[in-house]
Amino acid sequence: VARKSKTSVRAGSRPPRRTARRGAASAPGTARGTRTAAAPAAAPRIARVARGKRPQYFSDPAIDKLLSMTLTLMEELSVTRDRLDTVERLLESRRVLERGKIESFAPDARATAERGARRTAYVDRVLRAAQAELEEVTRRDMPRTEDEVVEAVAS
Amino acid sequence: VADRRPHAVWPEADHDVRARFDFVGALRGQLSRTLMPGMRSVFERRVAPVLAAGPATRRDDFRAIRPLMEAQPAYQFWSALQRRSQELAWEAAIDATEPRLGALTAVARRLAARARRGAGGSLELDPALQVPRYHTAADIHLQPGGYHTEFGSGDVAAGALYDQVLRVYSNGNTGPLNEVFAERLLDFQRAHWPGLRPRRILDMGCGIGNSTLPWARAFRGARVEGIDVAAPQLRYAHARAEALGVPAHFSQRNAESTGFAAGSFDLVVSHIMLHETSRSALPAILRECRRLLAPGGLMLHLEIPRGRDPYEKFMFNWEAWNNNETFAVFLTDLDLAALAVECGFEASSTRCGEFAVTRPPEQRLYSEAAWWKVLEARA
Repeated sequence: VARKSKTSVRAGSRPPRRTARRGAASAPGTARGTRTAAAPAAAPRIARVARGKRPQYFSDPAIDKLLSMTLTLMEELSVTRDRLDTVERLLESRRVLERGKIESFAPDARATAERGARRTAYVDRVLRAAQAELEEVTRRDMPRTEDEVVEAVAS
Repeated sequence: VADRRPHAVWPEADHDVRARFDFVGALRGQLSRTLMPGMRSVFERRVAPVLAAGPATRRDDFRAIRPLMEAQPAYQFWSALQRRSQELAWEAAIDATEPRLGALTAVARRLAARARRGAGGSLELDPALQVPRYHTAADIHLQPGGYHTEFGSGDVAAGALYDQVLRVYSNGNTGPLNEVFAERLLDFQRAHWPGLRPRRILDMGCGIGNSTLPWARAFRGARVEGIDVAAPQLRYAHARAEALGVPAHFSQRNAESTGFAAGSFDLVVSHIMLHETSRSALPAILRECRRLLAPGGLMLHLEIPRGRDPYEKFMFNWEAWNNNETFAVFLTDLDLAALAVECGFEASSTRCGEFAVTRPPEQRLYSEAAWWKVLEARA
């Protein structure tokens, strides 16, 4: 029985994206401002794709992926509305925000760069379904069929 | 800022990841409330007539429903959404955990180091223990890496991920500390075995210890052991227990062959573990329970019901076919009480039954009714 290999296979199959991660700078015990520094090479990565045969739900596998992406988009829109709501309520309560100024706002260079990085991470997550299929095809330790997994519990 | 975490090893997510959890919870609640009940209509109108026209032997076979339902567009759509909701939950938990993993592992180490002066629990890992194939073949519940994979040295990631996703999976039904399984089994024990005063309790397949600690709280003074094959979950379980101030002793062992001396326990319990084993492991575990119990000792296994008619059986097995709970299919029509008797328990003291609980519609799973199943046997 081969035990699953640890991080190297999984981490190697993912595109590098550490610098774009939201929340990295606010991790407990992490100094502020590390976001722009070089990514720490030793930081552990958690696998993103579950081992096992992903069922195909629709006649065309492309529909499966499109639905996956649609759900991620739905999620992100919900998150964004929540965040916007948080910000607007906080600002309103402090009498900081004039809502009319939102319409005429233009981002500066730093804001543009930060938005770009966030967008990259976002697109990466939306495209997860396509990435998952590639891992199923390319990773040697992935089961090929459902029967293979059933056999593991049946014997 | 107030710490809203249930305990010190819980990875507190930032605003947007919390909003993703909220979205997944809302999505799953909505799927349970709106689309899922419609699946019975799809079955009754489109699938049942096909089965009725076919051979009689297939009419009561939940497996025969699967290909017919999987050809129905409405089922395809609900099923694909349900699957995606599970994946989204893991993705959010991973994004909450990964940037904090080093810090969380350090917190867990600190809590473990001061355990003797803290709650008084312990942790014993066995690096030589072979993780069974029914855990390594596919990642149960779609948790990337399963229960056992380590992503860094001495890490607690698998535990942290499981803790967070269980809360989202159940849409809040598992309570703030994810203790609902043990609470329901304690209800059962109080109702059926009110005089029980165990001094040595074993929780098999304890994972993050969320079902271990309620037994330690209910029976203060008893020595409570939790065993599991997954080291990262046990590390998390130990730190979590110390953070919550409840003494429990966790060790890395396989429930099929624990290494404890015969007659070591007055009470052996497990919580939704049996359906995550295998055809050979299940009887081995029951035999081990029999061996571990002192004379008069009690075994209680909490399980998820597997449905009352062919349609419900098919729906409960959605998790088997789409959420990598593969062995659940084998359990569907298995007589657990008969198996326990084969494994050494007396027929007169062995029972397997269901008991009902109330549950709001957004927390219902595959059935209008809500109930648990318990296998009980006395040594």
